[in-house]
Amino acid sequence: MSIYLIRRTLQAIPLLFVLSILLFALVRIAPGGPLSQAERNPNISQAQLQVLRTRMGLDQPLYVQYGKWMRNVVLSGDLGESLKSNRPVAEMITERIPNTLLLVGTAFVLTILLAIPIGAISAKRPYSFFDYTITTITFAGQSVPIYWLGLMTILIFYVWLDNPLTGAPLLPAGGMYSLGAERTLQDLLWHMVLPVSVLCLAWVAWYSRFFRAAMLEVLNADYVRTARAKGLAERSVTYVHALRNAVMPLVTMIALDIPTIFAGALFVETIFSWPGMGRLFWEAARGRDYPVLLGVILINAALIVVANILADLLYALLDPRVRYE
Amino acid sequence: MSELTLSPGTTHGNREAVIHSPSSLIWRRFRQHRMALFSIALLLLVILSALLSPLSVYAPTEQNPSNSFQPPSATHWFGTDDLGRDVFTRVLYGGRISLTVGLTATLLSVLIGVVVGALAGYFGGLTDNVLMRITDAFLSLPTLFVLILVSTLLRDLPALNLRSSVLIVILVIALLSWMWPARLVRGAFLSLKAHDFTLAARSVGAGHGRIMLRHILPNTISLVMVQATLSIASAIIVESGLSYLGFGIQPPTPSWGNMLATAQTYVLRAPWLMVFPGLMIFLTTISINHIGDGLRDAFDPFSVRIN
Repeated sequence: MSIYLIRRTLQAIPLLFVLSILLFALVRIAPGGPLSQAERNPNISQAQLQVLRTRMGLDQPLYVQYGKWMRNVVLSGDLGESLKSNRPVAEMITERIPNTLLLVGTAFVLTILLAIPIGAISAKRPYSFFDYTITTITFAGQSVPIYWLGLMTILIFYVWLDNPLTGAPLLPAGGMYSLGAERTLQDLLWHMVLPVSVLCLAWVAWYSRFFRAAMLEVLNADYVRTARAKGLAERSVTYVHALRNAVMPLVTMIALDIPTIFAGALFVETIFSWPGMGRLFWEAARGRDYPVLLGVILINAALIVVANILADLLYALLDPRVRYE
Repeated sequence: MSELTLSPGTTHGNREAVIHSPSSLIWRRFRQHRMALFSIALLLLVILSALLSPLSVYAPTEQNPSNSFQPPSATHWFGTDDLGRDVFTRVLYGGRISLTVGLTATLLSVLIGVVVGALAGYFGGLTDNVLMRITDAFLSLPTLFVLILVSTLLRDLPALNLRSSVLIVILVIALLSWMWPARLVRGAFLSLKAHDFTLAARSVGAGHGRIMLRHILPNTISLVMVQATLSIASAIIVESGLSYLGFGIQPPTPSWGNMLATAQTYVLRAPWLMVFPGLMIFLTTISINHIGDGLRDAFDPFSVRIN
């Protein structure tokens, strides 16, 4: 197992390297590039541009620039400096990661807690009223764009509905804490309601449908018939024998979906001004802050790789037949 | 593929053998999927309204500041926006862009995917290994983030007009979504190349190209069509999402996504601005998904869907 882990990690490193080279080259070669706005500004002379280029190391050959950048990334975790705020990119990202993880993690745990029972009950009574209702809702949930869902919840819970006691909007439309108020846990939870629900709704739609299909397949398997034949209670047949086996394809599915999960977080963080990595990326892209963009993408890619390895481990944990060599 | 197929009823002891061609069989099964039929009608309506958008009495970028933020009424069915433009007209024009991007990006990504998947599945070995490692690498990309980075870079191109900005969005979406059809087609090619009909084709001297194009590819059409239909919907969602975030179609050209971005700014003053563009995205994608669902059932000879 540990050998497998080491091998997977070693395989992931060249992938990240290739990705970093491609992204770096893309940012430097593309017609836009870090200095595009300065170049178009009539108030900046050629001489000043040259000074800027030298200061940013842009006058050196591409591979030298990449080498320097990568050496800093590997040796000291230094992702360069933001072009806008002049702060270290690594610091800006580490500030935001906990916020993203809080949002995504909460939504994810809730999603699993909802999607598995919903999928299981649907599969247990296929084509029943419950199943039909759930299938219709989840089908709609898969088709609705997450950003529109977010905007509509703001419209309903912030603009239209008021708190009957205070007359203020029922739920806050964005941010992590109320402006100027003390940072309490209650306030934080209050601000999490809308973004977490939106992510949850979107994800539950996907995973409950997927889990329903996985469960339907498992419920027809021979070992489930055996479990019934030996006289086990239907409850334990469904919720112990079948459920456990249906969870496994879900693990693989989730591992493949991690890029989509981060994409969802980017939308939700942008809509609800949640100070996470996605929002940071969006702000940086608007301001053409290329070092920040590169940094966030690299960190994201690394997180995706780590999550994929974790999913493999989890798979082995859930299915004793799986042995990695 | 044989010319004639027995309908499934005959295998269950039904004495009257009804003979249907494969395409009529597919259509018969598709017809049973009521939501899919309804969705085709709805989608045709959306397409027709996008095509006929020039018939509107307003122009999509015609500003009328004295008439801004009008709620929906008989003269402005979906109201007017911050610059007094007719939202109904803009929604219709927005549909042209979203549908164009959805269709062309999907065509392109399916084309790349089919070529990669076919080569990998058919030749196997080193070809397969290299192509699939590249596919895996693309699959582990934070796609949306790369999309945003690339469109940010390309937006700085000098002399960027509407056509090239639409083209960029199409290319970028296609380049980051060909991996799913590629995997699917590879799997199909892997199993189909082991069938006897492939061997038969080879034994009469058919070359690799002929076997792939004339013998294996036609058998993967149903898979590819279902996948393609579903990915039109996701391409539309991605395009609108990019435009909403400000990295897709740039204003004043209307697109469903960038209309939502404006709407968010004025959520308190003009809540209706938010409703219609999003509703159009939703109706379009849910119809396409229903059609994909119907196609999947229709193509699957074992499907026993009743409702």
